[in-house]
Amino acid sequence: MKTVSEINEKIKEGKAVVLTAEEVIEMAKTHGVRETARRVDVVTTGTFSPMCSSGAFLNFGHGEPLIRMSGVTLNDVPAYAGIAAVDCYIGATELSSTRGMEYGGAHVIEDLIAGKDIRLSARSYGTDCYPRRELDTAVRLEDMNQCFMFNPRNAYQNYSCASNSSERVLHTYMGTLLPRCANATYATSGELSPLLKDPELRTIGIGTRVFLGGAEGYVVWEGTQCFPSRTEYSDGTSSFGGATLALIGDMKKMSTDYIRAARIYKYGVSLFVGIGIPFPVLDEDLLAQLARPNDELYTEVYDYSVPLRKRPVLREKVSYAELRSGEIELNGKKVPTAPLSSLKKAREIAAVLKARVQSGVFLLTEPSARLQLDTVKKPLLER
Amino acid sequence: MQKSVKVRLQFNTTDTEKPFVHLFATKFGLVFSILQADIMPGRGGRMIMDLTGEAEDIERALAYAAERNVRVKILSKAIVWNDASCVHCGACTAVCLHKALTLDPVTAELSFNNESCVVCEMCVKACPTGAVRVDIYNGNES
Repeated sequence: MKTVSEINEKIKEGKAVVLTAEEVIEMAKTHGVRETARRVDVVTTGTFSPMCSSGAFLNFGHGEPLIRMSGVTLNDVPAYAGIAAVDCYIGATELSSTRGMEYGGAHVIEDLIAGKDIRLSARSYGTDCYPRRELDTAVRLEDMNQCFMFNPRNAYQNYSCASNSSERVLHTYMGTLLPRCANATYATSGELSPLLKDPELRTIGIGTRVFLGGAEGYVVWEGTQCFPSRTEYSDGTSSFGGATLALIGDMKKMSTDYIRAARIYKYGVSLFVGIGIPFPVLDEDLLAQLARPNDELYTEVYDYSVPLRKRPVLREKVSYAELRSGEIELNGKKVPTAPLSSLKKAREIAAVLKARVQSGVFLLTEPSARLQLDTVKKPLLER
Repeated sequence: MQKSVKVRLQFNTTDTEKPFVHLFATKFGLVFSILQADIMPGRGGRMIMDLTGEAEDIERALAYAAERNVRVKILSKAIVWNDASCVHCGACTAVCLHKALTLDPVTAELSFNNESCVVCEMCVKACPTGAVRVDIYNGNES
């Protein structure tokens, strides 16, 4: 019906109709899928959630005399230095050697983006070409060379809701789970969540331009543990899940409005990553997916008191509308729910992205290659 | 009227042998819970305790201690929510059984209602960005 280049022409002419996912849902309810697909060109989405599989490559530039950094810490948080002389990778979940879970790689990333001084300590064994063995200095993001966030697994398509049937409080990456299923937590922005809106990833591939932490970013690969799946329920409805994205973006253009460190009690450190993806409304089929509201998007509830690959399912199907209502029914009793990802921020991202597309500074992309989506999930076989 | 207060008692070197805690219970009928105690004979020290009882009995007990050279300070704690560092994720609402911290169903914004807060401090641990903290402030000193 429409192509990405036709939509981009309309964006450049200032004539494109751009709506957020929430707005397009309302329009489709009023005018139907066919009419809405005809009227709307782009739909923007957003999510803001802790995403552990995140980090950044940093290049400090060379000091004098030269050093091949073999061990690097940033504010006492170890960074991976097993790459070239003054390159490192700081992982979001790495913990401080002095402050433990109070401060980690995610805090280093947030502080760098905030423009703060970071203490860089480096050790080396010294070589003829890189004789220096020690270095200790303050560094700032703006003074460094290339610094790009490279997140191996972001933007989970769907995520299960967590509860705890045991007799004790559990501190998990899904937050504090109270005993006897006294609460349940979930972690997607539902109808605003990017990969739930193009469930078969028709428009997303390598090279897709996205909003990442306030900057422009790109899809570089399918994310780690990207195992797309479709669940068919007995009532004829279905849900998608399992897809993930590997994303890259210029850290120097990011903002702490959309990248924030997260301290998860007795679990560790993670990074809130703000992501937005604009979708071209290619046809009615895609619009029908883009307009799916929270009461047509589902996840399942797992029992986090069983720390095994196959956790027991407490409920096979729960809609995001029910999760958003503040309580769900679990084994015949009402259980209060709480999100871990910020709907307020997700809305903000979808709105900012909408404004960028409308103003013509953010054009849509045709992927240069499809993502590999037929991968088989393998467990680790220990031998 | 029954009430609970958290107090800090500071003892001089010579006060340590007086059985204040025993007297609080027997003379003034207070229920106590010792939260922290660091007292040595000859050095003095301090004790932080929760006292529960009739408001006037608590007042009389604390006055009794103050008359006997014990420095008494009433401690109060409150949860403080910092909107500026909050990302409105809602993780704190998972543990706030008294619904002092809630997400607005329309705006998705977090808000804090001090009146409903029982200062259980669960939210302080649950908050990923340190936007919720507990403040200890000093009450009237007698």
